[in-house]
This record gives sequence, structure tokens and C-alpha cells, in this order.
Amino acid sequence: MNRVILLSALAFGLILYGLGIMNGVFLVLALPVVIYVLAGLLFGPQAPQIKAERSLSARRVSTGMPVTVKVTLTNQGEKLEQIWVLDPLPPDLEKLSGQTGCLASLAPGESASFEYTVRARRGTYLFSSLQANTSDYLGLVRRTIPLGASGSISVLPDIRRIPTIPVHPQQTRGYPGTIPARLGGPGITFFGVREYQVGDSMHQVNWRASARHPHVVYSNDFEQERAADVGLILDCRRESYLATETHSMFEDAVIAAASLAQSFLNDGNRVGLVQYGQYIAWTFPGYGKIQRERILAALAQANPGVSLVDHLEHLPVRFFPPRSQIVLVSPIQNKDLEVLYNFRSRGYALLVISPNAVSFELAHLPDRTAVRVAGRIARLERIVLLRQLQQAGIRVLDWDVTVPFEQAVLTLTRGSARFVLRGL
Amino acid sequence: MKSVRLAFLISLGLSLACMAAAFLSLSGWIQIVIGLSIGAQWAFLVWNGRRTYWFSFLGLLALLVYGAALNLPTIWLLGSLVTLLAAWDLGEFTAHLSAFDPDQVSPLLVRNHLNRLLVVAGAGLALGGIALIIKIRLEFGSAVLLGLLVFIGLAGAVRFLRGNL
Repeated sequence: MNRVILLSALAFGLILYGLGIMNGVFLVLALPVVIYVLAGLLFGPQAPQIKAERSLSARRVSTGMPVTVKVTLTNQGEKLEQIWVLDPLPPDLEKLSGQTGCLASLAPGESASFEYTVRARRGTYLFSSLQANTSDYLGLVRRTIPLGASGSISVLPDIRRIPTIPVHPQQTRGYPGTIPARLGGPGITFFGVREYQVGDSMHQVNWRASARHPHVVYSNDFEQERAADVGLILDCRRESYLATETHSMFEDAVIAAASLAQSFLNDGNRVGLVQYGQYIAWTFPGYGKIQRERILAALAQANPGVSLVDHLEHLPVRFFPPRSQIVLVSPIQNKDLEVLYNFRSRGYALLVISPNAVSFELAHLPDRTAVRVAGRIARLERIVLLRQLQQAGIRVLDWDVTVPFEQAVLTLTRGSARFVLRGL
Repeated sequence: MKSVRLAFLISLGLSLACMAAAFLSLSGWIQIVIGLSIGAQWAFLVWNGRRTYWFSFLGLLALLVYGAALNLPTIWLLGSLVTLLAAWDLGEFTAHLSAFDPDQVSPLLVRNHLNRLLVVAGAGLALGGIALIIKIRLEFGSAVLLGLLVFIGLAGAVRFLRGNL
């Protein structure tokens, strides 16, 4: 209940009742109440002028890094007998130390500040605009002033250092890179022989082939290595992922996508990202560190959502240049097979990084006979599913998320392994 | 924070003591017991940081008005009302402070609050005391006129205050 209204009503009542029954006691009792209300009138804040500044020690941080937030309030008007500001923390931000508000008196020109340190998991956190409340000492007359000073923190996903993953798209770009281009030219890997051309160095001449053909001289040709287009697709459909109270498989998928993006960008490739979930969010393809930042910023905001359609059929195929490399990070569902076949038939090279939902779930279930049997059946189903992908020429990494991604991905870099499955 | 709670308890205790003294003149034991139980409940609420003090405040106030209607000694009623107002203010202030960590609250602010309250309560008590001494005879017409003036004045004050909320 509002104190001013209550007290005013009380004063009214006492005075009117006292006058009505001609009893001075009620008028006497009304006096302290009237004085109390008048004190609020007399000393209440008039037109507060407050400037607020919010400073953050960092706006983009890695997961788990602490961020210090400092808010400074400066009184640019008349004396403020009482001012209080509370800075509500965005949900999921963990306060490590400090104060998230202050209560003070401010003389003209005086400043007050408070600071606190927070830590957060991956995501983007918005600090709402501040509101200052001012009043007299007794707190009777209050004014609320919007101060602005909003802000945000982006907590980027973890990035694991992974080795170069060999990919072989049919189409490469014109710039030098690390991906074999299936074209003869400068390089280090033997590609074939061709007739000697003026300008070829003597080291390049294939003497053995030339000796067999007395009238022709042959030179060795090497395979060109070029940059390629790599399209990363992160499956953000909620139904694809399992989660416990403390850990979600989706976080592992995001880590994988971030690590892959960094690896491909470091090799000079052009990388784009599509997040496919409640909606389709894409980061247009690009090169270098700026693109890395764009992709990490997009991944910082990635969240699993309920997709309007329950399979991948609305993936924007034209988003990826024809016959380029596509890397899909998804636990994979049976209904996704058709779409992946479709990609393959259009000439895309496909690599699927598939966090293993079966092993994730089994790790969190009690060790009972029924669970073991069910787990064995689920694993068999998954192996069959992944084998079908393999038969369509799709490389698959079946990733048990209890194994760090940087270790799991090593299997992709070994020789010509096209399909990696964990045994039963 | 501790000093504010202590001041609240002192104010409430004084208010209850004054009220009890007033009702004692008529041997109103029931009213005293009711007053004490409301006060105890109020103190309990403040101690546990709950914010329904207006209910307890209104309860004690109703007892005071009832006492005034019974023509109990005005000086005790006045003392009880002033300290009751102070207790209510301090209860609200305790709840306000509980939203902050003790480190966030400036001790100067607390001291200034207590000083202001002391001045307001003192002024109320003094003016009430003076009003008890001065006797003015009012005719019916003057009383109505005075009532109208009070109504207009307080209505203006409330309008001003509500405009600032």
C-alpha cells in the first residue's frame, strides 16, 4: 500500500472526524501525521539529473572467463537525499563477487559506483537499462528515472585446436590453399606427366618416361592445392539432442562447429555457417579472422529450438556453392537420410560429425540388464544408419562426446579412413 | 541495519507502552493484550524481512482511535501515535535496506534517515503537546470552514505527491 495515500487518508479522516464530533483530541492526533506528510513534500526530490555509465572489462570472452561490470552514477543536479539503483543480472549469469546495486546520498557533482564480477556459459547476455529511484530520507516522495546504460556480453564457445581435416570437394577456388584441386600445376604431390614445355625446370623432367619415347620429353606434373568453399551446418533442432541437468550434447556440437570453423579458416578456405533449428540462421561465407569472429558470434547465440519441420528438407542448398564441401554437425536422425543423399547427388562432398546420442544417454542410465540390451539395440540401429550414409559416399565421424573433440577428430586425419565407427 | 532494527523495536516498544498506559486508565486489559499481540506479530514480521507492516500499523492505529473515542488521556495517545509512526517508518526502512547488501548501504544515509525521523517525530510531538495546551472554541460554521480548508489543502498535497510517484 502506498504510504503517502495511507497517511493522507488517515490525516483526512482524523481531522474530519474531529471537526465533525467537535473533539479536539482527533485534531491533536492528526498533527504528527500531517507533519510527517509535509516533511515528504518539503524534502522530496524535484527533478533529479543523474548520469549513469556502465563499463565492462570485456564484451567478448571465452566460456568461463570472468567479466567485471562497473556502474558509475553521477549527480548532475541538486542534492539527492536517497538514491538507489539495482542492476538485475541477466538469467544464467553467475555472480562471483561484488555488489549489483547501491544505496546512497549524492551531493551535487558527487558520484557513486558499484562493481561486480560475473561468469557465464556460452551465450549472449543483455544488461537491461538501469533505473534509479530517488526519494527523501523518509522515502515518502519517490521518483523513478530511466538511466540507460545498457550493455551486453558475448560468451564465445570453446575452441579446440584440431589438426587439418583432409577434405576433397569436387570444386575448389582459384586461391592457393591446402586442398588437392585435381588439377596439374605447382604443388608437391605427384599428379602425372605431360609434354615438356618451355620454362620447365630440369628437375621437373621425367627422365624415365622421356627415355621410353625418344622424340618427346616429359615433365612431371604436380597436383595444385587450393582453397575451397566449406559450408558448416549446425543442427539446432531440439529433438536431435539429449541433455542432462548439467550438460547438453548441443554444447558439444557447438564446440565441434567452432573448432572446425577455425581449422578450415586457418587453412585459407572460405567458410560459411548455417544453423538449422527453430529458424535458419546463416553467416555468409568469408575468409580469415573477421569471418572467424562472425562465426563465433553466431555460435555464441546458437540455441536448440523446436523446428517447424522435423527434418532437414528446408536446408538452403543454394547457400553453398555447387560441388563444394559441406560439413554437417548433427546427431543425425533416420529421416535426415534422404536430404543428405540429395546433397550428395548434387555433387557436394559431405562430412558428417555426429555426436553419439546413444552413448551419451547410456552413460547417464543405471547399469541394468534391460538398459544394456536396449543400448545394444540402439547402437546397432545407429551403426546401420551411419553405414547407409557411408554407402552414399558420405564421410562420417561417430563421436562419443565423452572423448574430447580434438582426439575424436584425429581418426579423420588418418590415411584414407572414410568412416569411423565405434565397436559394439 | 542493526541500528535501524533496534530503533524500530524501541519505537514499537514505546508506542505499545504508551498505549498500554492509556488503556490502563480504564482497565482495558483486552485492548492491551490485543495491542501487544499485534505489536509482537509486527516485530516478528520485521525481523523476518516480510513487508506487510501496514496491516499491523493499521491495527494499532485502530486501537488508538478507539482509545481517543473513549476519551483516554491524550498525552499517552499522542506519544503512542508519534512512536507508532516512527516504528512504521523504521519497519519500511528495514525492508528497504534488506534489498541491499550491508556493504552497499552508506552509514551516513542511515544516520541522516534517523536524524530526519527524530526531527519529524519531535516536531509532531511538540506541536501536538502545544495543541493540547492551547484551547480554542470553534463555532459550527468555523469548524465547517476549517474542515473545507483542510480538505482543500490536503487534497492539493496528495495530488502533488501522487504526481511525483
